[in-house]
Amino acid sequence: MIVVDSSVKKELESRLGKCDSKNTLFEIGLLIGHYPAITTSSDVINIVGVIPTLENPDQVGEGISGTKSLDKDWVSEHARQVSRMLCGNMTIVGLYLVSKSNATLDQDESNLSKILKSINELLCLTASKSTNFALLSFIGETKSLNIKSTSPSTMYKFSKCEYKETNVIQEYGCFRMKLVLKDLSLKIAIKDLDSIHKDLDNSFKPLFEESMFIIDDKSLDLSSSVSSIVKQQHQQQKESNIIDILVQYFNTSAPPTPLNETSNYLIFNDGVVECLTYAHEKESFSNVVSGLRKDLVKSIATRFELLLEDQENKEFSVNSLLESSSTRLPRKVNISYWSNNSSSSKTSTISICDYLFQDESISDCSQRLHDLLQYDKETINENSSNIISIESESVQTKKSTTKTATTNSNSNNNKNNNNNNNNKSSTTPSSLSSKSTTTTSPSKSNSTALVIGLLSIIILLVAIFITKK
Amino acid sequence: MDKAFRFNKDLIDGCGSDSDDSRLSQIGYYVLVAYNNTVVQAIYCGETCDVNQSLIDSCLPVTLNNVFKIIGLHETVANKDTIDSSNVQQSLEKLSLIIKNGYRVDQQQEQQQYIISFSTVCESEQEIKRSGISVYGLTKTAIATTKSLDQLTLISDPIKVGQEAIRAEIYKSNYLVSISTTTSIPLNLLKSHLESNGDTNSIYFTTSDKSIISNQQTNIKDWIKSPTKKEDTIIYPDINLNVLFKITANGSGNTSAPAVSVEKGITLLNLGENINTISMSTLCIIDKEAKTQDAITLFKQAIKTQINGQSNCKAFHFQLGFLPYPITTIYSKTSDGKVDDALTYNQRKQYHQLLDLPLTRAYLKTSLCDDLVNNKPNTTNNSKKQTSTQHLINVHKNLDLESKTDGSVYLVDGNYEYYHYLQDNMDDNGWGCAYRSMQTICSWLKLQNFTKKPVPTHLDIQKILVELQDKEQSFIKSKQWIGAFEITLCLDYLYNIECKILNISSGADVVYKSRELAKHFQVNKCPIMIGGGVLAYTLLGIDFNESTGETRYLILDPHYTGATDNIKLIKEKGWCGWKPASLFRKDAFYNFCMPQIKNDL
Repeated sequence: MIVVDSSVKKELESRLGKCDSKNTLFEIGLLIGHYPAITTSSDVINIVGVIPTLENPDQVGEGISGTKSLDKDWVSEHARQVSRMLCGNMTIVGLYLVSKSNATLDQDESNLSKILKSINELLCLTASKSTNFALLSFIGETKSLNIKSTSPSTMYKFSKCEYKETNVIQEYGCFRMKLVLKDLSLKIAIKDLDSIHKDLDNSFKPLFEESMFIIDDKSLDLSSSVSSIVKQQHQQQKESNIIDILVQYFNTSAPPTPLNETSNYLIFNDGVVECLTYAHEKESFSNVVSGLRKDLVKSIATRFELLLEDQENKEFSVNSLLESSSTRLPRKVNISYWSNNSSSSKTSTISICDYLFQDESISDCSQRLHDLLQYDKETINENSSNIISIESESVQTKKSTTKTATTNSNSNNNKNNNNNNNNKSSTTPSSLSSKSTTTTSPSKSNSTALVIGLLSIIILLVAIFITKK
Repeated sequence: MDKAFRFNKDLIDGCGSDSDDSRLSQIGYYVLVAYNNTVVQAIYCGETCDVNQSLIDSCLPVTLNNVFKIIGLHETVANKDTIDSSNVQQSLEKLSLIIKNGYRVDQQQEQQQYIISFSTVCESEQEIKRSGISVYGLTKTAIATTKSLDQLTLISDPIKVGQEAIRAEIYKSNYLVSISTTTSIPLNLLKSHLESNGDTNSIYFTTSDKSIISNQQTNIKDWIKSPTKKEDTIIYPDINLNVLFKITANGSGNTSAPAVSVEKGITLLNLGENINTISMSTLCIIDKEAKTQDAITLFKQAIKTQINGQSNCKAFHFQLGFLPYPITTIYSKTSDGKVDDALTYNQRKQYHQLLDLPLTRAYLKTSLCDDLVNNKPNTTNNSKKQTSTQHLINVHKNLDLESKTDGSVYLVDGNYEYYHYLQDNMDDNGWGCAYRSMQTICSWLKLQNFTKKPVPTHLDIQKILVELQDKEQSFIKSKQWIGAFEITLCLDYLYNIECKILNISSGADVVYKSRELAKHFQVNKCPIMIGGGVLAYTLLGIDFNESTGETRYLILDPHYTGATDNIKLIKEKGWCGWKPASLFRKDAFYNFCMPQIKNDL
């Protein structure tokens, strides 16, 4: 069963308009959605949004005659990078095609199957099981949606399937949790950075399986349905529900077992990270809890991947982490998903995220959203209401003095980075070149960081001086 | 006096008694702690009356509105028969200082009545003479003006209240609540979670059914489903609360990027040793009508009180017979996270002094603690197959215990139970006499508070001997005899108690060992098991004339098969009775198994 949110059709119509204006035959893109864990019905895909695939600069000149000529690697690499920006267990659930007439779409769907297979393989690195995918075709002439489904088990062959259009987003609730990593004192055995996703998942498992979860100081019965909380959230027009974890013990007291003297362990020295998950009203709190865990693991693992990619010329490994006393991972920014789209419902709760390196600012994020999701550059800036939250860099933000210093250093940070961005803004297609999402050279970033550090100290001193006066 | 003071009977009766665990017998000062107007406990504070908050806290459960208050001072004076004015003046000075400092003292009431009391201990080489207690009542104003004994009002006959009545009074209007962590918690994290107040409520209390104690229920009594009976030997809490920690930040709080470092496993191992942890477990006494909010504040205060100044430690609870509530002690942990009784000697000694426990017997060893948190009341771990039946206590006390040899009588000291054939639904007629004799010894150890372990069954004993590889597997559930040597092994295994075996090759020579046996009863005070070539007996004492050598033996015979409660039969037929030296046959050898009791902490 495929459930398509009513906003999706409107969005596809608007995509078709863009096709027209660009004079292209058709457009391919990604379907964003969720697989609700509802036991009563099998294989439900809820589709909540679309993200168009970037035009392949290599193919711009030639023009694409049909789906057969699509570059599989281009589409799946875009999907991989988009997937990182999805959070709350929203994921890529398929592909869409928009075209004026049915005639322009190939009847042969084998290339689309290959693309989905390739996407699935990339996503499988982080997902636990192979899943169903949807293919939505929107034909301008008939204004009709043509919906098919496929799965790895059918060798990606497409077949007709049941579907319905509803306001499915309204059936979702959002659950957030801010985890104080230092309190947790997790010691995570890591073999190498490639397996970090799995290692992280294993390490967080006991915490999420053995702890007590509460909302508003009331403990949650994990087997019960989330529906009343979701309804309440919509009634009270709350953005999300805050979940807290209560634990009986801290892992610090006992070293991880078995503690291997020669192995490497990852330790979180600091950080308060927010994880979130969307849950369909028919799901239970246990789905919420596992969803939060998956989101947490994905968010932390993604940051390691980004570090790894950022330093591709350098030897970035466990050893290089060992050498530095403490490595601060990229900061997460939560952004409202529909910020680029006026036609969609503003009340929707779906958000996406991006990660900022130490020397990056919101403008870098804005650039990436433009590059990958085709957001208008103006949509996101540091004062934008579309930014739901942004993680701070500072070690402690408890005292007000340090808080001011942080803001100051941030604004400074932005200035510096704007300059950098001007330099690299012309390199848009390269942001999609197989790996790096950031193009700042490491040496440059180090010197920038130093300048920022000095500046922020001076500003802090001035601020103290002024307040004393 | 407007209000009559009442006294914990055990406190006032114990004072002046001759036994080792007599109360108020250390030279120096004791603060007297009262519930309402009943003095329930005396806490020793040294010869200089060194009262401080943490000292008092360590001996009392944390209470709401400080229901236990310091109400007076007692001084035990050495080597004097009379109390003079200088004693009175010193005591009053110290009491007024305590009142001035205000800790656990009701300062609001100007009309509050106080007491001072005195007793004397006269120690000579031959004996220790302890006097009874003289109690004087006085008002707050009188404390400042009184200069001599004549100005004080002697309470000639203080009202004594038994444990049961005190317990009934306390728990009629209060609950006993235990608060604990399930495992060791790093102290600094516990502290930081306790300190975060208001919105970031990062410490939570949950009941066994995982409900969170919150203002959802206005009164604390709404959380307490089944209060426990307080008549049992051990007073169990009405509710056991678990401490949970919130490791998530507030909804409005800032987030920050994670910072990571990589450590080698070997570094982590070393780091682990430096982390101070506590296995926290504390008790509160709280008004039944208390509001949940106040209760939560009290619980946090109780934790703070316990962890104050501590490092790497674990809490233990003990129910002492003369107190109406359990006492909590804190012992240091070794590097492997355990508490070694041998290493806590000084800590235990300090508690013994504070609580006025004799220094000759280990009351506060960890092996003797009461598990108030995990144990359900009224559950015993007796082996199911061999259910325990009734046993007579101190059966020899029905006999004439005067010396008939014109010498002295040396007896077992302390309670024991008479174990004999056919008890506990066990037909051991013809083979179980040594087992029974050992059980009598074990019951003595248990009743002297040397152990918490139940008296071992025949099967338990057999299993131990097989485990120690003294016997083959087939020994289990057999009807084979055991002797003094096997009992030595078992007592060592079960209680870490060594035994001396007095080996006598002919029964005719037993009489020459009387001096040694007398010494055993003076020092070890424990029953002796007699084994050897023939039947096993339990020896409870001897009547010995040092100059003539004449000796009678007080024998408890385990071969008795009659009704357990037929004291008349037991006495008349001599199942427990004085026997002449001729009891021991010339043609048989004897092994006297004499447990060596350490008169130490």
